[in-house]
Amino acid sequence: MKLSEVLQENNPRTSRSALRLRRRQTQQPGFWAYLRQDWAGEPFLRTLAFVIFGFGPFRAMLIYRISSTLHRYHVPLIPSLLRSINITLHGCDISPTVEFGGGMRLAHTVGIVIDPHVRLGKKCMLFQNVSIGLGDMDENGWQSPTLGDRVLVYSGAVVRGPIKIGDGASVAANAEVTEDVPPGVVVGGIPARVLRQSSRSAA
Amino acid sequence: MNTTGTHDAGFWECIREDWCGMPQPYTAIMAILGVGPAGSVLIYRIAHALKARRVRLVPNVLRVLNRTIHHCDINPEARVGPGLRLPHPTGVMLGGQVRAGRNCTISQHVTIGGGSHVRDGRTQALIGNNVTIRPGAVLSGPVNIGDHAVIGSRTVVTKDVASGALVGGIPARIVSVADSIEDR
Repeated sequence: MKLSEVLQENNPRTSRSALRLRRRQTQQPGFWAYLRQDWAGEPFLRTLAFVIFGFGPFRAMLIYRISSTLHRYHVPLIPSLLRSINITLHGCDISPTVEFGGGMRLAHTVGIVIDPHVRLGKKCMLFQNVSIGLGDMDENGWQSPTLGDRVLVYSGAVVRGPIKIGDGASVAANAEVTEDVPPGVVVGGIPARVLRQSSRSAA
Repeated sequence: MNTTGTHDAGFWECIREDWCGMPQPYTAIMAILGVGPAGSVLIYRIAHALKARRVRLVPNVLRVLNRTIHHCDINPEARVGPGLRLPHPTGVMLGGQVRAGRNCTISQHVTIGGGSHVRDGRTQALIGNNVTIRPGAVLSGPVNIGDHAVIGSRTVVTKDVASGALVGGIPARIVSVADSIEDR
């Protein structure tokens, strides 16, 4: 059976053209647009070298973008396999159903875990060992956090529960965030509280 | 006192109950390929069963395989009851003397290990049934964790935790205690 037939059979109402139309209506970027935005945030030559030779963060992002795109087109099994490959190669567990805005940056991919249904804005940056999501399977269903644009999450932080993190906020290392965070502040501690206003520029 | 960690389930019962706890699609195919969260549990179960039958070398090879594929280090000598769930196996470390009951959920980056302190002939944790351990928690030394307890994120547990308690912080303090099991 051809791939196109599988797609048709699985989901007759979301054929490729219908998906493309919907994406245009909601102005969600496609695969290449996402990739261009991600690439723009990285030093060019270093990234090129990493993609070809090394275990670079960009390769982890690339695998996630491919898996996410295939998931959007309702391709079976392959997104999950790509996620497993990402875990094995980079130690980075990003579910294909995660919505990650353009310009994502992963500083070090080791131990990053993002649960399904988490939504992140544009130009977010995650450091190593960051967990975003519920972290365990609950009877109440998935209650996942939503992160705004330009959010910085430092190493070892846990963001969990049905919360919102505002644009430009920073989460300090090893913090546990369980409540909403206003835009442009730094939070830290277990449980997290507001430490100060972020000194990063609002741009 | 709870009857923790003393399950008598065999290999196939463990496999079956682990299977039932996995709601994700394609889990079966993925697990057979040895990938996905269910794959890491399956590899550990096989390693544990072979270790119990005194097979040499193979359990350690499987352990290394688990470390390579899933980045989780589970000692084949650890005894974890059926219904174990590792939603994200990345960074999970279970030591050889860990004893855990049924239906435990262990999240990513959790360390359950121990040092030199010996208590009741063990140096590592004794965990009850239906315990949830959230990301990044550390259970250090021979602590007892009661049934239905919840260990919060990034908590360092060095003392016993009562049944139904939710603990958090460094060192662990009780945040709340569930009145009934339904509250959890």
